[in-house]
Amino acid sequence: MKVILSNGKELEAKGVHGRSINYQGVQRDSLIFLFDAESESLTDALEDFTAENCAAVTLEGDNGERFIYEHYTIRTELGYGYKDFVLTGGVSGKDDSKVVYVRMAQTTLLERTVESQQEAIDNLIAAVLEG
Amino acid sequence: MIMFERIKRLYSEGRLTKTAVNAAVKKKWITKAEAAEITVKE
Repeated sequence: MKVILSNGKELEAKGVHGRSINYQGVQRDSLIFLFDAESESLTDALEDFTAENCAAVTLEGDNGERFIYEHYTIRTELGYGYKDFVLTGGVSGKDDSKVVYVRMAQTTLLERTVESQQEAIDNLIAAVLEG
Repeated sequence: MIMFERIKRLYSEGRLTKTAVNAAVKKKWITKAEAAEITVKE
């Protein structure tokens, strides 16, 4: 599966899984991206999975189907570990491969509205002071 | 304090000039001391 970030960078993922999580007191949808450590290091993942790059993430399946996920801009997890443990929190022994993983959670409409209003106030202040 | 933090951030992001920070002092949005703190070179 191919992951295409907002900056146009394309990454080959071993899998992408969705799950609802509670983060900072809010129930949110989240996506966990799994990568082969040889193709995406922890440092790469840290640089690639920023809020800006995840404003709109496109997932492209092997058969050409495409899905766009917007506003998954909160990075809640990033690490390297056993795929089984990353996905289930336990080890079944069925799959002991290791992966680099990143979990991105979706912002809420309220959070995006506040952010947008803050930006409007910033612009207003800059306009007044710069005259 | 809220205005100080906002102007400090806008200045650090390059969205406000030193002149604009001084304009904020004239408008009494921040104090002279705060303006100096914002524009001091690190």
